[in-house]
Amino acid sequence: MLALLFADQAFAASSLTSPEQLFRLRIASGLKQLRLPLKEEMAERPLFRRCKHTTKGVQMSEEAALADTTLRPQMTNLGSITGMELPTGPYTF
Amino acid sequence: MPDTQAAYRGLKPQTALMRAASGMSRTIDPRRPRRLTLAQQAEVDRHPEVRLLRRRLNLLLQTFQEQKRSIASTKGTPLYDHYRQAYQAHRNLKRRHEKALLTEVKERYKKEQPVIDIQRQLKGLPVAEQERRQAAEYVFVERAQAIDALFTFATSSTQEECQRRAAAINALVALCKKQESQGFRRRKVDNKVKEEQTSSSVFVPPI
Repeated sequence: MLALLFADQAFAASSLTSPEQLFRLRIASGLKQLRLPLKEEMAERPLFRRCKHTTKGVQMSEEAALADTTLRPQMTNLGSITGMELPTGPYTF
Repeated sequence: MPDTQAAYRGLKPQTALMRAASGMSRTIDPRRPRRLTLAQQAEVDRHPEVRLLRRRLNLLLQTFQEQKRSIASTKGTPLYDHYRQAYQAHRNLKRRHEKALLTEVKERYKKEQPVIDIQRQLKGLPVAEQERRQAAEYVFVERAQAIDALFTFATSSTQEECQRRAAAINALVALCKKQESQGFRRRKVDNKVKEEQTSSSVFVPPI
């Protein structure tokens, strides 16, 4: 998921562009968390998006979500390959 | 993995939750069955209920042949409806049986393979392995890199772990930017060839 967020440059902090930076961030002493806000326009954008055909060829859509009928079986399959006991799906994380 | 927290605090153990949390195995066993073998599929075909429905379907197909008509040409007629109904009934039942059999095969593997492996080790026999598959080839080097970074065991060093994760994330981001050509469907013929090549001498469920 982090890879997808970085690929979309979704973090509100514009200097946060690599996972190395992310892992170097520290929580201020006295506090228990440091929130990582996302850009506002990203809030509505689906994480997994479908492809669309354009004049330039096949591209990733900005707004159209990947169909559940595509995503769910692929995730279940992935879960079964990696040895998960219970079925995995989009909302099991 | 017992719910020691609950035991210590005198609470009712959250068995289901613990099972789910510990549900991931620590390794990916390539010998683990993921699909039914051709022989197992044939076993489903031999099931009396499935055979019955298949016979019914065949009879209807025969009718089409006798009338020298294609199936599509009869759309709208009762014959077509009967055909569709028979087709769906057969397919649904067959799928149901296949799914049940696969679940059973997986459960049996989970229970019996470790025992087999342990017995073999204690008797000094080599652990049965599948013939080494061809190393997978990937179209994109980014994919190979991502897989390398993802499927390594975590070390106990936090720094190394962070590095590994960062490497995996970067590899995946690079992969995101790549685009594959249209995917292809593997044909049944290819599946059969693949099965003959990889002999699985480990777990042969009694058929």
